[in-house]
Amino acid sequence: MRNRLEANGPTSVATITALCIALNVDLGTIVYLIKLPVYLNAVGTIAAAVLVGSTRTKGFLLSSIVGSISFILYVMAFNPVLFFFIPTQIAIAAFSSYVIRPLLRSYVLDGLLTSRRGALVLGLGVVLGIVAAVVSAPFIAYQFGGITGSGASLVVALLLKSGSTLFQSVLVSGLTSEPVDKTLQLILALALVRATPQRIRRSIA
Amino acid sequence: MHPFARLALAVSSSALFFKHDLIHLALSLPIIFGAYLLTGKARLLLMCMKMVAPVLVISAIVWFVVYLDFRTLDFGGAWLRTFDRTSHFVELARTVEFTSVIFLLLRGIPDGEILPTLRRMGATHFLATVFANAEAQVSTISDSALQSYTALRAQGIMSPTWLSKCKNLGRIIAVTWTASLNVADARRETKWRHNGFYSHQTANLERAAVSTNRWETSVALVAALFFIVTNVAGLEIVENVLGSL
Repeated sequence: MRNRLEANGPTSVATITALCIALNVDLGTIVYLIKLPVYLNAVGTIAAAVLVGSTRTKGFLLSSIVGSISFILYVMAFNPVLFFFIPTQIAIAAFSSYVIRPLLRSYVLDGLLTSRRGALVLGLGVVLGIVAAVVSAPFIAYQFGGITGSGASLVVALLLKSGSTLFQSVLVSGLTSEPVDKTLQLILALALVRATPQRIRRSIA
Repeated sequence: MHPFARLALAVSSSALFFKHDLIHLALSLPIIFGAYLLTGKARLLLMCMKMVAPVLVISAIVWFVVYLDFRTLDFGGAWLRTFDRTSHFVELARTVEFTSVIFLLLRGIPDGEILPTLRRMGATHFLATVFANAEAQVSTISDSALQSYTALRAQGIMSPTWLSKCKNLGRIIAVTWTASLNVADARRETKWRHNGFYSHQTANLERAAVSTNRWETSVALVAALFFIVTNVAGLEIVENVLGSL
């Protein structure tokens, strides 16, 4: 069994990693096309962190690759300015691999959603959103001058007008929108992990 | 374009971040336009401009509104502050200039040459394989998503309203993922069985050809040199020349 897994290992991991990247790119594009007020551009990153790799560190490395390449593909196909959100994806990969993966392992294995686990998922989603907002803020403030062209830019403008500094405005704007978005992304990523057949999960773990 | 020239242009374009000034950005703009046009990528330039123009316009409008004093309605002052030499709008313009170079370098890779080009730019075999594979899978997943969307609409499960789209987002994603996973897994089983394809690629990649047009390579190297001269090495010369004007 071990030999068979080793023989298929790199290929299976490469296939699923590429699929997670494509999922990131496509979900971001779908929500943009159907005009939903969320980003959904890290579902593949979170799913890869929970699903791929035998250890947390391997999961982190692979999900970082997923996040980074997703945003390079965004640059190629969608919007060149998204290049500077790669560090945010690496932060999401780190949090998902080292915090979400061990805490939600039992849920991923048995799929039973108790009220305690539900609360944990919501809590982790909110914290993930805060992490993403804090990591993105310096890049938005100093690479984009605070305005990225998304709906959150209006919140930044309102806060600037009310006298807040640029960094404060960007941070508060991120903290209001990111937790909701990242909670939704975490729920979707967990649903995808649960929907992945056991046979495939074993070959990439 | 030779992969080394591609890498040199990417690294040198980061020199844009050495100086936060409208004049230096204006000097870099002809270099970028020149690189696109001289390498015959005019359509790519147009595509890039279409992508970044809305972001630049929104940023300019937002900053104009932020700087505008509604009591005095000083439009001239707000305009000057928005396009000041070291304004926040300039930070975005600098980022856009840098990413437009990256866009040229990535989108300029000829079809089917991503894998060997990335390898020769220093990426590991695994990384290059995943990148090329993901790029190919984007359209597969996109097709699956479109089919899932159409199927849910045709079955009357999803209506065109915003609320219905939100409610059924999970369904679209689940159907898309399962369909794509099956296709990818089947492809892996038949084409990549026991790492045969992967090993073959590793062994034969060194012989894979990369298009290295001399003219494009020269243009990229000259552009890289200009970036460094304009933004780092010849900074004082440029400033003195501009000062004397």
